[in-house]
Amino acid sequence: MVAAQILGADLMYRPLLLSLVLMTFPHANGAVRALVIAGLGGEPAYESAFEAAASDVAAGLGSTDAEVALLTRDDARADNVRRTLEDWARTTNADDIVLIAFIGHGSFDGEQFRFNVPGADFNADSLAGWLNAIDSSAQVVVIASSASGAAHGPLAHPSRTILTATRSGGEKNATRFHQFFAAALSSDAADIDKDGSVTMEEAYNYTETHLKEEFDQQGQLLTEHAKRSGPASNLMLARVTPDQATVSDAALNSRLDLLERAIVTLTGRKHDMDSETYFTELKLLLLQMAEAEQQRRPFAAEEVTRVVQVSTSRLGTGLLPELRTPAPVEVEIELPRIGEQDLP
Amino acid sequence: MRSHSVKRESMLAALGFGVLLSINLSISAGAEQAVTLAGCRDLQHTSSGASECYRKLLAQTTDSLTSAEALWGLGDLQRANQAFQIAARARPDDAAVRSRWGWLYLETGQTADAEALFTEAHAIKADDIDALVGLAEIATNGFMRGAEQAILRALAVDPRHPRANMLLARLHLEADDTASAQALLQEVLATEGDLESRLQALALLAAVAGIDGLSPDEWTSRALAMAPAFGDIYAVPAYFYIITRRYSEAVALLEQAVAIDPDNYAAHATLGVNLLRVNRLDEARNHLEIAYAGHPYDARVVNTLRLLDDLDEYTVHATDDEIVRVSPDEAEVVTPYVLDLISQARREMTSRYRFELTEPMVVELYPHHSDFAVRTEGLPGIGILGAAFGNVVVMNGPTAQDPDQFDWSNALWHELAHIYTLTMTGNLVTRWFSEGVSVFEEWVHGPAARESVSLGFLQAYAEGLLLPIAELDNGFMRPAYENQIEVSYVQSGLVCQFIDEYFDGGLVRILHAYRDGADTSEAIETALGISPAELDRQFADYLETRFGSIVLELKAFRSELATITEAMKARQWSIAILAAGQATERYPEYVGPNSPYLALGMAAHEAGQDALAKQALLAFWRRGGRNLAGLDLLAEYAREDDDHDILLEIARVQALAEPMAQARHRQLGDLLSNQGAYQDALQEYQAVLALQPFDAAGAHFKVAQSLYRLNRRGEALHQVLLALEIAPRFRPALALLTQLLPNDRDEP
Repeated sequence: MVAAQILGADLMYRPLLLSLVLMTFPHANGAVRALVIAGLGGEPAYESAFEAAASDVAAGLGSTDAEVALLTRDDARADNVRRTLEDWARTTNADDIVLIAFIGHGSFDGEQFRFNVPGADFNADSLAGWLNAIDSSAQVVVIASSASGAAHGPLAHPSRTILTATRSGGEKNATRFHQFFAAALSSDAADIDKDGSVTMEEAYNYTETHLKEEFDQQGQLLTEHAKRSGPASNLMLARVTPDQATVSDAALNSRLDLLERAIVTLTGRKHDMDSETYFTELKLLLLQMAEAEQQRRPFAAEEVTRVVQVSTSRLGTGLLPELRTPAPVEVEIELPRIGEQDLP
Repeated sequence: MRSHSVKRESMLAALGFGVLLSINLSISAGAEQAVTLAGCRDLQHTSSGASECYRKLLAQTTDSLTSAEALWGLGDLQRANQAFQIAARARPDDAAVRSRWGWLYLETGQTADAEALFTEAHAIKADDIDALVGLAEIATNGFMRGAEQAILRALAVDPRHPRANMLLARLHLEADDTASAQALLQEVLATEGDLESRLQALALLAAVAGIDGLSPDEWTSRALAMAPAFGDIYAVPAYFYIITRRYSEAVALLEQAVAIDPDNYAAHATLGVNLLRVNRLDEARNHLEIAYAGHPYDARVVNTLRLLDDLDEYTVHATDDEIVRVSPDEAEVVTPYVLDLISQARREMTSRYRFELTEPMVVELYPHHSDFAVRTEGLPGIGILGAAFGNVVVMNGPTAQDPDQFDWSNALWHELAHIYTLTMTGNLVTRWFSEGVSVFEEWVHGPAARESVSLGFLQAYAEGLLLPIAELDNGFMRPAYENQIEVSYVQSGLVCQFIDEYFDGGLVRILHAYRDGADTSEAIETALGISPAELDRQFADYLETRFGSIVLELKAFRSELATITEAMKARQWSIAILAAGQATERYPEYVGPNSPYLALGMAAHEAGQDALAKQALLAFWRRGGRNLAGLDLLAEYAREDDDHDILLEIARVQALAEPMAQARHRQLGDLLSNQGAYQDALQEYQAVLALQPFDAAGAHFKVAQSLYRLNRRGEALHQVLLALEIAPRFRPALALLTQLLPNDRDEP
């Protein structure tokens, strides 16, 4: 467990929601330090949307044992970002993990990607310099902004995973990546393997899938293509199912891992087996899994029938259409008329 | 001289499906020619030597325009087009080149290009008759407001021009003025004209007879005696059945047309399209393919054939009562909703209109508006949402448009009502009354019933633009001002609502009168026992009672809406709240576009005035307002208040409005589950599953939970296994598995 640190009176630090998490993940030996920044909105609708998404992301991260700092509004200045990262460069251990998430507008002038923040913007080269100075086992950078695809090059590093809302600097429309990324960190729907937590991989896949669906449902061309580079990361970003006390037993955990691997192996052979045999074997393995899981913590009756309610709002956008985060400029494409043939 | 090409371009084509050319040809084909263009054309109905004649003409001429005409006559449209291009370059100031070239484009269904060429020709020579008639033709085919003026401009140049006179006769026929049409056609017939003009006049006279309910035999016999293969003698009258939605009669005539005139590709095309409308898909394809083989440039034929290819992939649900075709991506989710609506409509409308359908209701939903448009093309004045052809309904599906702009379930209800009015009258119901009943159904009985009428209607009412009821069809067929079709929809709906409220059984009696052949005036007198003028008077009183006060304040109301819009954009909540409050008091029923209730709710929410926001949104909802974001917010308030009834009501509407949105179904399923409605919840969770959710394990588990609660243990076990094969450590699923397996051994 890592205690929150107050790094300076001029930074606004939000409550660092800490919890004891028993599960393990690849980088579990060190601490996780996260910095979430809500950039300049330029207009009220963006301002509040960026701030809300940044708060949600910070809250999601805070549900793990990560140490989370959130910078919004006037606090989200380049100087504060730099100071925070410089401080981390001094205090971070080599087995720690660093995560930085930027939500806002970005720009690309053909040479440099810039984050739009109050005061002077900062560019990807500067961020790379600050991050390179931190000795950590892994780094994750999430940039949910327009043109953010241009940041992959400057930020590239062997131990750095980079997620951006766009695939290049040319995608300059305001992005919606942040809406879904924030939703992923507060939704059990993003928890594909139902282990109670949302990993970086799950959050990214959730975001990418829902972005496409959103554009598709609105009959719009997809104007932002999310991109990731660097090593795969299974960093836990949020705990979406309240953790409950369980028996911690190495042998039992090992047995569960073995059973899970056996099931994965079996499902991999599903299409080569006849259906009856497959499901019979699956049932046997799952029964053993259920038995082991019961030993960890007995099943409660309500687990079978509990209905997990979903929010009635769609990703919190309960505003009139014109008040929602402004839609990106639509690209008009002249579609050929079906079957119409000009005479040569 | 007048004639037409060897490819048998027909009068029918000119009436809306491809274009038949009957042009006053004053082409200087050259006196030295052994054969002449006019001579070749005269051979069309008298012998089979027309092709040979055109070949000779092509061989002997050095004139590019004459070459173009000869190639056109031979059906070589591509080379004819090239020849016209050459002619236009060689004779840039010759209006005839451009106007004749325009007709080639018009014949091949490329109206915009044709119009451009006619306009150029007209600019070169203001009295170029071919250009003037061409422009009149386009205006008439497009049901444009200026059609009559365009025809009169042509007739001012040549008062005896047969084509122009026949266009005018057609306008009279479309307005049901058969006497004027007949007089004009008799004049054309008496004129010393060519064979083609006389034949076309006879075809229109046969149409007059059909419209008047008389036998067309006299005209048919005369035409066939002159030209035994003149298929348009049947195809032209068919057109008038089509525009009055009597597709079965049209199909029968068109079948006769192609039987005597197998090369009449325009008739094949029209027959194909109308066979689709009566749900005879295979025959439709056959005739469209014949049309395509003979006339590959007709975009409508190509489009419709492509549509049929797509339709082959559609998922079909067929029973004795209904046939539902939905695109494969949407079928699994949307079809259950469609079936529910059909079932409800059948139950209610059978009782309300005292009529049992004997044919199944056929419903096709298209995910793309362009597909729907192809399916409905050719129907004048049709709205963009859906169309009913007898018992066949085709319409935009739920994903074709923004759900805040298009309530597909209400649109389906509207179209299903058409099935009743069309079927029970044998398609003899007038357009206005059929639309009126459908609109009335939407407002009073539909899934989103509401009392709100559009501001456009109120404006027209205020300006005295409403038509007498007996003339309401004109508002649909040839609108005289910008939004008259929309105004006519609303007026028709209000007339039907008024009749329903004040004349018990009046709607049904009017439908019976139409079925028995009455026109609107006769139907009103028979069914309601009052004159049309008296009905107009009473209806005026009804309107005055309902809308008199708001009409007086319409300007102020519009001004408040403008203020609200500006204030909302600027996030000036207090200004928006003030203006919206005033507007809702001024016109409390209004929940249409830019509803002040909605703005009031949203502005109050933003301003932290939650009680006011909830009150406004609730009023919006209760009055039939539909807006996804607004209802989401109301649902949040309902959740805070633990008002599960409203939550559930809203969730049902939202899931129906956005059937392809997984979250809507999941949310509705959860609410239903919590209320113990497991069967309904199961349908919603199955919809989620059909939409291939990101969280597949979670979706399988919810289906399994519902099945378990319904004691369908075998199915529940299968679903829980599917969940666990994706997520083996899914604790609730493992828990459910342990509940299911002990009793699973006797499951199949």
